[in-house]
Amino acid sequence: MESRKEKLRRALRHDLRNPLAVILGRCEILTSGAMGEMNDGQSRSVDAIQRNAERLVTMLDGLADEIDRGLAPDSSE
Amino acid sequence: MARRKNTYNGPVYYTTYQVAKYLGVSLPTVVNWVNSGLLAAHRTPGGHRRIAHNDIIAFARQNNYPIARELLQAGGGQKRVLIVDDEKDFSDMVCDYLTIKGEMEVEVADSGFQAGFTVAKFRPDVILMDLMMPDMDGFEVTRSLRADADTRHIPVIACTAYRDPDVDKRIAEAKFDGFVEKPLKLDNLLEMIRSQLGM
Repeated sequence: MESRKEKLRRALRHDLRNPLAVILGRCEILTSGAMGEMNDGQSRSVDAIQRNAERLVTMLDGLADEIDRGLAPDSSE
Repeated sequence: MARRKNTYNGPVYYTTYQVAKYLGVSLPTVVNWVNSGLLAAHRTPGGHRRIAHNDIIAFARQNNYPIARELLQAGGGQKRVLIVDDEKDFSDMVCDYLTIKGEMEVEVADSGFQAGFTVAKFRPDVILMDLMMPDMDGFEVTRSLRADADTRHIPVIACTAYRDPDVDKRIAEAKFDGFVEKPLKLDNLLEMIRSQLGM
């Protein structure tokens, strides 16, 4: 049976990355102009969404790495 | 369930003479391939043989035959990409990009089981395969495709958000034609797909 640590690790490495992949991909589609040109305000908004989604990916990876290194507590043990 | 995302223009067929010209062989050679069942063909009401573009490509790949760029580009319209992924928002997003920016025909299968049916019906030129799906995962679907002579030539690009040493080992062993990790850069994916298609 999957431990709580494994569940958390899977959530960080997989489950939370999927929605971020969609957010980042949609941002790329918008900034590419594939769905029409954006005005300055729209561009700034999409840039901010993209930047912050990328920050979240970095944070998730950092947390998952910490768990892998055994730095995070595992209450199931 | 499979979702067709844009208009399918239908297959393009060639005469045996055209196939001979594209593959640089004589007309009797092509006729022999057809008669011996090596190259799939059908007959028109007038009794003439016609060969589907995808069957020529599949035949050439299976037999390590060089494929003329002219033939690849003369595919009769859009290249077909199948996305196998249980994350609907993700597959819709990739589908939009490949359809608009790549000018490709895209279809989605939302499970490993559905993928097998969709491959047979849609006959994709390339497959983007999610590895982590419930029930039948992307590794199993790919194994099944490669065990079938009709589908083993189709390039499979693996895709997953989940990486660990065990998954990496399985990816290496499965010998996919390409690999992308979620989140991914869509323009990189498009470039990878075009490379697999010789575009």
